[in-house]
Amino acid sequence: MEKFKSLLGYIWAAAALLIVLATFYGNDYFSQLLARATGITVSPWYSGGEIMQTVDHGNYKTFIHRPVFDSLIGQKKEGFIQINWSPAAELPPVMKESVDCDGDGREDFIVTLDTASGEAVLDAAASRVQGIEKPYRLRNGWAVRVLLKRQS
Amino acid sequence: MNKISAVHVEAQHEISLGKTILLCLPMMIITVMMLSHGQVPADPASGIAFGIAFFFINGIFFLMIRTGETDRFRSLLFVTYAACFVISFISHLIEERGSMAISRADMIEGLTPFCHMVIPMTIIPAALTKTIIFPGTIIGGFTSIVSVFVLWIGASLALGRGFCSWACFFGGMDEGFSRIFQKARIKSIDSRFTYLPFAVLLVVVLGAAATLSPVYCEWLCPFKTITEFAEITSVKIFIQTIIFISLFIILVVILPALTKRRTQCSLFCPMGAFQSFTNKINVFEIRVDPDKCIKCKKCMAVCPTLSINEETIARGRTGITCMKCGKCIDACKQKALFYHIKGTPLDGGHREICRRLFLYTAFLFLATMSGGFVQDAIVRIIKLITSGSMI
Amino acid sequence: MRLDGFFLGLSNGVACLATCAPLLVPYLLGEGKGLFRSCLLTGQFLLGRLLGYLLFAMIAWTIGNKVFQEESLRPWIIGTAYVLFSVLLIFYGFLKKTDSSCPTVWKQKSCQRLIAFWPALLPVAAGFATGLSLCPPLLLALTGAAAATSLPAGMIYFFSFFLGTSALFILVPFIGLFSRFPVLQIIGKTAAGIMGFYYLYSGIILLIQGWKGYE
Repeated sequence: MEKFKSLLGYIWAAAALLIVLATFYGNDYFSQLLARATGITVSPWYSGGEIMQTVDHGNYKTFIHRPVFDSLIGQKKEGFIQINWSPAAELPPVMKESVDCDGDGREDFIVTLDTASGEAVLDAAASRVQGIEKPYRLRNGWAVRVLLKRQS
Repeated sequence: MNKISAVHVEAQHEISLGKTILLCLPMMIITVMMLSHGQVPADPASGIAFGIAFFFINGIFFLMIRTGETDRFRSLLFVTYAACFVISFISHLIEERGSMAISRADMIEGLTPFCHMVIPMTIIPAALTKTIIFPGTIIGGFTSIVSVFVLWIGASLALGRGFCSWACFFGGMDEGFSRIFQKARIKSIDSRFTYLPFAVLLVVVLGAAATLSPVYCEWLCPFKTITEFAEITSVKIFIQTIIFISLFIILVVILPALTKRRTQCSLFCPMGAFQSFTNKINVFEIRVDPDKCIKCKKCMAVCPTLSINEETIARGRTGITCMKCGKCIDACKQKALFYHIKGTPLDGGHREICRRLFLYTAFLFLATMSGGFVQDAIVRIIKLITSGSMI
Repeated sequence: MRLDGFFLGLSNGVACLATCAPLLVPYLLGEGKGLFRSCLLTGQFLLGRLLGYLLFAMIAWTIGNKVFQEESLRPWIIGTAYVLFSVLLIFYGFLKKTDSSCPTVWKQKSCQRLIAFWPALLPVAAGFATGLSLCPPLLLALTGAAAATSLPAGMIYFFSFFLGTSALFILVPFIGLFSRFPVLQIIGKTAAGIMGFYYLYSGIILLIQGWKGYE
């Protein structure tokens, strides 16, 4: 029994060495496997959430993300909706976008972005729209986050 | 009986030069492949960096095998690794973003490298929401989220909390400052402080789950001082900045220098506390031979994480927070402490085999993690000397 | 459920469990005939705690409702309460010596006579009594409940706090896990002390908001 335990111990120790080799040499493979198996994504509070709607303006596109109210359990009372514009080279000096957050056919707000000054103006049409963060200049475009209040 | 086994162990440390080189050969072959990525260096600077890194790393391993001492040489590479990480990381940030500061735009685009310190905080939110509460990219590149998770899982299985002494570059900073002075200015630390990292872990894990944000990273991580930090755009972020700079100065610089202990790692770091639990599933441990121990408490005096005390010595082990650095083993004149593989006999004949198996595993991890940063730092230093800029 | 209340309770649950379990667990297991009986007794104990907390929630909200007639006073009072109780919590977590005694009244002779008459009352009474002990985390929870917009909201906040403190008690019947109470106590109290800094920050922010409103 003691010899068997000892053998298992040495095998386990040798396996530890193989694990180190596999961790580095197989990092790409195991990363793909882990990502696929878990289906994990970056939190929408950082990434902005999934794209709900794409508006094609010809030279450029507007990407409207889903409203983010994600909480650990249920939803938070306050959140935001992110709007992206790209590509940077094709964007006009001023862009105006009308957004319907909840898909009820009624416009919730209009956001106007001046790419020269980096200023955004919010025209709220619904009480759930609380405000706007300052625009973010991305590598290939712009993004704004409009603050929302969840309506149950 | 004790004299015979002591002589037997001593004799094993004095191995011949030929045998030492033979034992180092596998490490040399693997490190050549890891450091070069299978390619010949493209330019003279890269060639010089490769050469220096290769000989430095393998020289350290040679000395560990030849002399039978672990910690003195490990810490030399470990501290060098930490310093090179800082040079390399900050230079890369300035190249990519022009600044160490992270903006919200960088977070939206996933331009932030994933840090292993956030792992404990991500687990509950990931389990319940299938999202990672940290900006970055899921896959692609060395510091993508899943690649760091894979590294951490591998390190935890192979090393347990040995991760903190053989893999974590932040620990190297703590370690470096703890070796500045010959003698400790503050000799005793209340043992209750050793539970503080577990309390911090509890709070940050619950706080992160409640707020879906990495609370430790936002409020407490001292290493933002030498990596990256949020752009100061509000009073709240300004307060956070003051906190992390203060914690860095106190926990990473001043207290380690005064106590000669790794105070950030042993008295505050929640990742270290989390990693302690992985010692339960790890095959390697440090044991105490009660027949040889003369209760001189030298091991207790030198342990950087306060993982040894009278209670653990009586049980013939180190505590759950042991980082397997080997400092206690090297300090013990009676050779009462030794690396051990769980399940194997405790007697002298197996101890050197256990040590070598541990060293191969741990050193390989350290060599691979550090090799890239050491090479990159050397290239940048050469660039600084030749062109006046590291970037 | 109020997540902030839940996590306030959960962060203090370790200290709660480590303080009360050394006295309660021997009784619960001594009385219990197997796992089912232990679970039943633990459930009765938790019921007593819940009743104590809900009673507190009602009292806290009633007081808060009277005091917060004037909306502008709210940040001042809540902020001051948060600052005071958080300082207490920091003291409790870091400086107060660990006390292994459970703050209940159930050892008193009059209680013991009542319990001898009705043995089933003991676990419920013990739970109720522990629920009424005024430790700093409970004072912070009281403040949170007092600031609630309605009585049901206040009770939900305290119910969430109860769930947080009680989560670890579910493990009590499985006694083997709790052989290191002193260590758990230190970790739990230190964690509670760290939470105190969060409430200190929240209190200061509320006071600043109150000051800005005053200006």
